[in-house]
Amino acid sequence: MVHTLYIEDDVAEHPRTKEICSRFPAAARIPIGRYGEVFNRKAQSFRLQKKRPALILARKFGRLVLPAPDGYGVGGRRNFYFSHMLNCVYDCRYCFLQGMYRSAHYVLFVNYEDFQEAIETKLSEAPTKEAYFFSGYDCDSLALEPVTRFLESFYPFFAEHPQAWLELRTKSTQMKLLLEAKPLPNCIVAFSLTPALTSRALEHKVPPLEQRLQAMEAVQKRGWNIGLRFDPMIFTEDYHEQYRRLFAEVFERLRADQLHSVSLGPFRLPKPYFEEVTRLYPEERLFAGPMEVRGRMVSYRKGMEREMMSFCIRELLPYVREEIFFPAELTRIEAS
Amino acid sequence: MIRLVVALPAEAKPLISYYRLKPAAEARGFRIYQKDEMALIVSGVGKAAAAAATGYLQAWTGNQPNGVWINVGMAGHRDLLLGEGILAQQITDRATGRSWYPPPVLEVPSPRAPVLTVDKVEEDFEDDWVFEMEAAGFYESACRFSISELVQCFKIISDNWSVPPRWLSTRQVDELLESRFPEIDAVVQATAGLAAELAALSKDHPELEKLLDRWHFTVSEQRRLHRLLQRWQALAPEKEIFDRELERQKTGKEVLGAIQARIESLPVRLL
Repeated sequence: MVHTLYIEDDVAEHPRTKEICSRFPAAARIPIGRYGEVFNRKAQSFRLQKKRPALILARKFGRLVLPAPDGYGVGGRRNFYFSHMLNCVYDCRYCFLQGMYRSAHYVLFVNYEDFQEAIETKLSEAPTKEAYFFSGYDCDSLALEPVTRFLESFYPFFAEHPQAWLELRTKSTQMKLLLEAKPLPNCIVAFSLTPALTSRALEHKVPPLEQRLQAMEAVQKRGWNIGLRFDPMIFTEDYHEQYRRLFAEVFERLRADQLHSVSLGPFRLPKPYFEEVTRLYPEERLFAGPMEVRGRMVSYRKGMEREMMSFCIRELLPYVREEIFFPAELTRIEAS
Repeated sequence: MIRLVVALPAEAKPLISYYRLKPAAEARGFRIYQKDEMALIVSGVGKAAAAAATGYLQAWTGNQPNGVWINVGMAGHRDLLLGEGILAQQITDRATGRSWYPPPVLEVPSPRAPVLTVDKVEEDFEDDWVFEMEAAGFYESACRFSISELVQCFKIISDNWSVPPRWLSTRQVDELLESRFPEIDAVVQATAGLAAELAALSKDHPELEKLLDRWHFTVSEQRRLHRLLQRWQALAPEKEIFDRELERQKTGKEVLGAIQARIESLPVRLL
């Protein structure tokens, strides 16, 4: 439910803006110059705003498509990300967004056509080569689909550009369009997964694991490429049992031989973000656990992290073909 | 701490009566009224006065950060009805064009409207603005001392196109304010609730003082101690940290090491 819409003057007449406004007729509409006036202001509380975030409609300028961080890829050589939206409807306690942004308001860049143009430009730099475009870096790709109509807009675009791969990364069960449309061979529907108890403890507002497994199963049966993202791995005393159970549940429902990719990554936050989230949530047990600073990042103690990675790799390999398995490289993490 | 900023004695009087505030004899330059954890200051008319009063009240009430700040006052609008109350969703200073946007986190019934701070009484009522003379000065100043979620402006319509601005009698101000007490109090309580939530998070560990009394810690060691105690509180809130084994430590540094070792041995259960 959106109670307040901040609308940049520049996009007030954009068709997407008008459509979203008509969807929330009772919402207060506040004109603004640029989204930063609201989003980047000092003296805001991310934690308090998360109770009742507003939606900011804006235009994205500048570099719309950026190189993906090291290790983000799933087999492609050319990896990029683009953020049509900042912030997420969910409230996962381990998420870097709460440490990075001052505001919890959602920012939706309505100029999808400019993102598509930027993707085309990237493709033209190497027209015969595949390129991967990750859409769920600063938000959940699908959670707000009924409002953003992101997939509705980008589906035909990626259908026309078969050498461009789109990754949708989600914790949601918003699968309506995926269950209606013809599956795109160059689209990965990637689901971020943690054990059920961890999800209950840390992934606030996220649908229960069982509902998401049902959604994944339906989407895979329809013929979409499914990606599994076991990331971040979260330590608990009984993580062996938790992760074994998670893997068993997932592979009971999904055809492992039809998966596109499986990735595995440890928990890590840049040090300034970690400091911010512990300031916001000092009572959070996750942050009270056995963490250490390594370089610019905060993560579990090295030995513990290695142990968790090794364990999960051992547990996953019986289910997953090596060629589609992308566990994070520990040497790269340690170097970062 | 809840801090109210109002421009005029006539606006202050009903609030003073409603919240049973008492005059603070020692205040200089401004009239301040207080009771327990609420203080009200009468700033005078205009944004400079409101800014000055806000700064003064912050210092006068002990300079604690992240308090509740509410500006209450009369305002004009083209066609809102007299007596209607609004919460500012945007505050713009007409003279400079600068704007602020109080985050819409409060779940209160008051409608929200954009507020325009002007330097003299408005009679033309252009557009959809709520016209008044203090909010911009108040808001910019208060946000230096608190987070914006805890800074709010509540305005009551006292003039519109059919009833132009004029000096209101004390009785008329009383009536207008009294009609909105439930809404004003709803804003105060809702904001205070958010502030209390934040205050609970930054409360010191109950054993912190005992530890600081017993051992010397450098400034950076105190910061580390604070963080260790937060971790302890998160993982084992029911357990006391100060015991005979800890007492055997000779220095603050050793204490930190001992507490760290204990924390590392605590089980991590997220639920």
